[in-house]
Amino acid sequence: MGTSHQKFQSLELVYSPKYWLGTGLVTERRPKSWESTSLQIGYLAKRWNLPAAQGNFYLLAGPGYGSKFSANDSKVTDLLYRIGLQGDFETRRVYTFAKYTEQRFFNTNNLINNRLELRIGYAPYLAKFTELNSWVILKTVFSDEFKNIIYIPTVRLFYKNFLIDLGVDLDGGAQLNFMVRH
Amino acid sequence: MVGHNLILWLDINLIKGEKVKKVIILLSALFFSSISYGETIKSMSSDKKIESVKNIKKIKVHGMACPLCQSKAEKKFKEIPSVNGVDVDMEKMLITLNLKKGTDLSTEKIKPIVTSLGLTFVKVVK
Repeated sequence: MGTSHQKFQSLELVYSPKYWLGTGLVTERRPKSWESTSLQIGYLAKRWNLPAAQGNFYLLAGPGYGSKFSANDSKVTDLLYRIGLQGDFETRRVYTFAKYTEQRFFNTNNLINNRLELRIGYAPYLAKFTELNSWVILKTVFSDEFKNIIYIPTVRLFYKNFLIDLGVDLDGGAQLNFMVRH
Repeated sequence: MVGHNLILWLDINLIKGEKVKKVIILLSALFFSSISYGETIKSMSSDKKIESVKNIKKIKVHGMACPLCQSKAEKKFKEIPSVNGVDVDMEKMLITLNLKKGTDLSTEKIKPIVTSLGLTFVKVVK
């Protein structure tokens, strides 16, 4: 069984006072490996508005606090920082997304974890905000802590301010994403 | 304020092994139901067009790529006192404003509203 079977959980709360700024709190854990809670500032560095498409490029950064567990069950707990880059490009039919994040301890600069996620999606029909929107998305996750690349075919459904992603990776792990906007 | 968003994102990898078949069946059912629903809504010509109203203004924009943009644009323009109704056509990238009788909304006022939504103002069509 590959490392992709190991559980990964995250909870993210983001508040955007402006379309180009997101501030939030991210808490993540991979049991028996690491856990962290950090503030996150997301800054929209560049937006491309095209006639029927939009592209975005974000810079992500923030301080936090977390732990990394080693093989002999000892753990290091310290202040950390989280940095990342995120880009997306979408039309009403096609969705692409890339995000790289890494977390390191402040004092030692030792890597806690890193993660690159790529997504490509397709909408089989067009719908308005007040109608049910559906996407089929292939998520791909790369990380130094996983031996293999993780592929997660996903169905995304969103209706008004509610979004849910349901996916299953090729090794049998299911993934649930849930998002609410206010 | 329309520009304010609060997003809660939960990401859980929670099921393994034997339950996956059930999950796949559930996903397939959900997905094909939604496609069926999509076809249904496509065939319903329920759009509340406001073309027949005399005092209208059409704004051409760029960058409206998702239904969320549509919702934000509608909400933002509805906050303006002189606006009676808003229709957003994502195919044509047009925001149509139904203005109250005897009122107007200048291009100078429209531009910053469009920009605050993260969209690009192109022109006022009518």
